[in-house]
Amino acid sequence: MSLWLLAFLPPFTAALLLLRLLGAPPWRSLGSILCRASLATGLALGVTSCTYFAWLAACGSAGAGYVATEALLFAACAAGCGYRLWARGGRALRFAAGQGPRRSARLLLGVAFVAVAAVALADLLQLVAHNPHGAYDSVLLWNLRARFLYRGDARWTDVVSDTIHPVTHPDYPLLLPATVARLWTYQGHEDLLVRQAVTVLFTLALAGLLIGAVGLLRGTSQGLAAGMVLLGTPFFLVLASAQVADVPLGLYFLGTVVGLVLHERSDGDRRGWLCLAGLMAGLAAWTKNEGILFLGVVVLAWKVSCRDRGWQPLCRDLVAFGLGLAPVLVVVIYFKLWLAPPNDILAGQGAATWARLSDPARYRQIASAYLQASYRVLPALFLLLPAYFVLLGRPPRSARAPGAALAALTAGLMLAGYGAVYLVTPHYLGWHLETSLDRLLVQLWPLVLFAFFLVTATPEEALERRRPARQLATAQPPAEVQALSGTAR
Amino acid sequence: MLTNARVMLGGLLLTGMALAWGVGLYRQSAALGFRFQDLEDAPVYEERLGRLREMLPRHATVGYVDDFPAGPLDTPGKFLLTQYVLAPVLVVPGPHQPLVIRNMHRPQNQPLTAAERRWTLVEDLGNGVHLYRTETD
Repeated sequence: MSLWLLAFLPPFTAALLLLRLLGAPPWRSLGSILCRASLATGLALGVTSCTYFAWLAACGSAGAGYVATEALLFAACAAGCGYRLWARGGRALRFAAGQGPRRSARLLLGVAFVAVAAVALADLLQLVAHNPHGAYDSVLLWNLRARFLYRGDARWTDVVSDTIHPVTHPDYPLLLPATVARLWTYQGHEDLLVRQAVTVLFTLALAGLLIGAVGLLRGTSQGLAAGMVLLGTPFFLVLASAQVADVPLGLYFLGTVVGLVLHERSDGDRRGWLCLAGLMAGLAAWTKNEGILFLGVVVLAWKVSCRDRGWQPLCRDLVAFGLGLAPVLVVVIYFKLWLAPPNDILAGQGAATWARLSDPARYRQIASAYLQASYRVLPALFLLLPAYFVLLGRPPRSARAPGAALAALTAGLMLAGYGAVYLVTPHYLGWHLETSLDRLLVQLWPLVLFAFFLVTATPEEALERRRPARQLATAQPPAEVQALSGTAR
Repeated sequence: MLTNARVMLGGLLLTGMALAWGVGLYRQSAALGFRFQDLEDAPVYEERLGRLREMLPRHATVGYVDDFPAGPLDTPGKFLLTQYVLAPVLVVPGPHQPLVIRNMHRPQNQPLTAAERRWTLVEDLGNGVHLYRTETD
């Protein structure tokens, strides 16, 4: 077994136990397995990138001392979570979604999903094998930094200073490079395979989280349908193989929204999910600059989607969200204020900003680029999803999941935020749109699919519609969340 | 019956399009050996400049001149590839450093300038890549 795999397993185990402690459902359905494993993967990779960075910032370089200290830290975390679970028992959410009589529909969809997933995996592995160094952007931005972090000793800060060529964007956060450099530190040497494995791991975690979260909230068949659309999106797979940070960012975007939705769907005091959502949002900010915009957007969307709630409970919830966010935010703030040079877009603002804002041609150009890029990169948005919605329709009122508004609003506000950045960019607008918009759309694609499959009827629900009213009245209520107060060790 | 058909059609549509897009991507990437632009020679650079990295002081700053056209989207493609391979050595565009890498893809068409002729050749790495010392002792 490779040493980098050993570097992954202890934090992954600690994250699994932490999620169980927060109330994650036990390993009883595909949805709960995928949801837990995917969130734990994102947490393990993200949190360890922070610990690696903190060690570098404090000690200059990482070696055997770092490996030993980190092993102790995660062993202690795992032991602490394990003890708490044993002492008071995990409080689990139970989801009874989509357990209708139509097992044949789920079976057929399962077979179809396996076919689509197999083709997607073959695509991904082939693309990764053809491009061991990733794409141009990954070399320029992410893998170059990983090399500096690993090879640079005390001079690793050169890669985030203004002495390096500005086209490498030295102000970008370090989650992905620190993850790769940390695994190389465990391995003892650089290995292209590590970067490829990290890419594949993030991609599978994102697909798994979408399938698992939709599966938990709306039933296994709906989760599989969502996964099929994501894995069937060619540009998602191309981008995943490019070793860029947009797929990890998509994972943290979705993880944040899923954490908030699970909190909304749970009974009683479950602020642990809010801490998790805050932690995932912090990791998004530690992945890319877009994640910093996301922090503000997701809180705003959350407030708007829970507008019937008073300020007092909302403030209590925000404190819990902030508790999860704070440790990672400290890392991001330290990096931004003490190490990184100013961001090129912010530094390029001044007298010309008003002229850019008042130029109607820029608005037209951005709107046109949004439409064209969406059609090119996400064809399912225009062809497949509308047809699917017309065929299956809306779910019954009792099964509607409230998280859809939060996810859709977050994606919409993020698009608006990106549009505002394009509007004031000091770079040539055509170049800026051409080099980034495709990737930005893919970051938000999982959120869009999450929202879509929450508001579309599952195959079971669509089939149920033709059953007589008498039978419907006795049918099992879909997507109900119940709190179990018993032990679930 | 109609509902059955609609659900079946929805499932077929989802599966059919996802499979068609996935298989299309597979065939395209297999037939063309799909590679991202301008990174075809990354392994060649790793091998060629890897020797140079071992020769240079670990935290040196070296100059860089080349005759390559701009990379994708007007970025200095081969310069950045050189920086990527030589990290943590800092590579700075231009000849104003004690050590300079001269990377010419058509060396016969790019003779040394008068100023460059005063440089001392430290290493010829082949394929138009040379390391020079610009300061004389």
